[in-house]
Amino acid sequence: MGKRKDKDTQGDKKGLTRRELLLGATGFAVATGAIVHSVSAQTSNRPNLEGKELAMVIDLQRCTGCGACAIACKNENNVQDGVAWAWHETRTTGTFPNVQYEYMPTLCNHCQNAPCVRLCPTKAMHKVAGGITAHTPEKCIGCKSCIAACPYKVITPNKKEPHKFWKSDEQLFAGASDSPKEVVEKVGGDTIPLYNPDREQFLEGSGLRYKGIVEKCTFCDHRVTQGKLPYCVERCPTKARIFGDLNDPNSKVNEILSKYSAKRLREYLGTEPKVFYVREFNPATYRKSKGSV
Amino acid sequence: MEIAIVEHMSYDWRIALYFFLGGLAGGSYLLSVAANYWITGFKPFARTAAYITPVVLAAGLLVLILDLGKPFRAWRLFLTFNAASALSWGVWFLSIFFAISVVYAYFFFMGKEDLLENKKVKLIVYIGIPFAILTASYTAVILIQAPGRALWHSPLLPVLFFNGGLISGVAATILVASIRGGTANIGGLGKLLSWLIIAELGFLLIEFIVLMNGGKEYVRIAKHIATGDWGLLFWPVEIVIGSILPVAVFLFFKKLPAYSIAIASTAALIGVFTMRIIVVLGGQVPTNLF
Repeated sequence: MGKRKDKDTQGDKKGLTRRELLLGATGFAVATGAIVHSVSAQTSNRPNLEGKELAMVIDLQRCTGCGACAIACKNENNVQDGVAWAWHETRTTGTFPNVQYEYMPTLCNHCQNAPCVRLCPTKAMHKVAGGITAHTPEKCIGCKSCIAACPYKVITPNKKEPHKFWKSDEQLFAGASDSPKEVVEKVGGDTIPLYNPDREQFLEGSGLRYKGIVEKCTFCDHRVTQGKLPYCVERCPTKARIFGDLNDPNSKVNEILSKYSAKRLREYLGTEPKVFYVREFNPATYRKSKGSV
Repeated sequence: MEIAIVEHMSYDWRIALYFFLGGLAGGSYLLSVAANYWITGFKPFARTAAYITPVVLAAGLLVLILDLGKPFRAWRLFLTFNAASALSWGVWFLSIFFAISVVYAYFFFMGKEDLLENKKVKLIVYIGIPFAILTASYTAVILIQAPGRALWHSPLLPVLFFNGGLISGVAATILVASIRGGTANIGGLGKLLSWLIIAELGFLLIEFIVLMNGGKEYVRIAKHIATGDWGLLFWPVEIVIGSILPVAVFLFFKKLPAYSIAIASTAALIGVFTMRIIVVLGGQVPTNLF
């Protein structure tokens, strides 16, 4: 209706009263708003996550620091070079022979009180069912304020053209091997950058990520909505990652959290992270610099 | 071997430059309005300052949009609104201020200064005042909204930014006026600049006292700026060139040659820009997560 009104006001310029002009302008604004909304709207398609509060517990004593979680994440989510959704921080303290090495796997904490959601001007970063902090690539303008807001360094900008490698027609052995471009053609794939078909299938949109926007861990919501575990949890060789619902008193997560005292990263900031750490990576010695966990 | 795979710097020098230009525009607008309506001694500077505002603000807007990962999506900022985000508010402050500053400069450009005394025009110009203040200081609120960055987490930051905006606005007016040769009562403007810079030094001192008596992270960032890598920029450029030099020139020398005025005001501009760089980039020094 708004569109028709707009056309009317454009067609009849002579008898244009102020009222009509105002109506037309309002109609145009409403129509534009509706179009933009329908383009960028992403209704959450996560019915089985309603009422849940998803959380992850990382048992640091089981963790060996192998980095399989980071690699599994790259595999599953097609995360390109220079970007990591699952990552780690390490620290070496002390002097020889009393040296201590620590490893802290990190990922998006899916904070209940997420600073990135607060600061995002276009609401691309938002909370969805299950307590997941989700990011809509279609809405993101790449202002990078979520990166500044995140105290955990887990949101990364996509600065390079994603998966440029697959567009290269350079052969490793000239005349003997296929170039990446030929490989893509042979398998019949399209060269859409950072394509995640699972996301497209189970959640509306969001199969694509582009250069210029930010991206981060999704708690593998495309898997979780299917009743599967996040891929880093599934692929952890020592089963150090436990995933579950905090609202379910019988969940494995609650069992572990009742057994051990848990820490969360930079808890004093009041962000209420959903990634808990139990026990110590290196429990043998007292650390002087301990304190900000 | 630690491989630098993931990058976490979010705001780079372009954002610092935009903060500088936005503050400068706010400062020059306030100076121009004050000179035009209230302080008769500064009346000749009203036109210069009025011209500076929209030009500088347009440059700032350009820098801001080019900093976006998706510059062509900038228009979406006007269609989505997140009341919790200072950035979302700032877009409106900036747009309204830009429109008013263009209208204001237009009257000078067309030689219709007498129209500025018109009640309706005056109302528009006065409406611009809060928007000038907001444009010069909301940028600090963006930084405050990022928890876990000790340097940014200070209620004094908007004051520091606003005062920096006033300094750069006055300094830019002095610089342009001295180049164009209108040096009448430039000393008075120089005195104003000096006192603003002295106030800024006071704010900086308070900021440092707060940081040094804060928690572990606060002390760390204070030391990083005062004695670490950023100290090389902080002491010689921001303090000596940017603050002490212009104050010394404008407050203690009576007879001033034109070039010294230009040099001192440029130095003040450099000082404010350095402050923005140190706050924006220095504030992002990575903290240990555990």
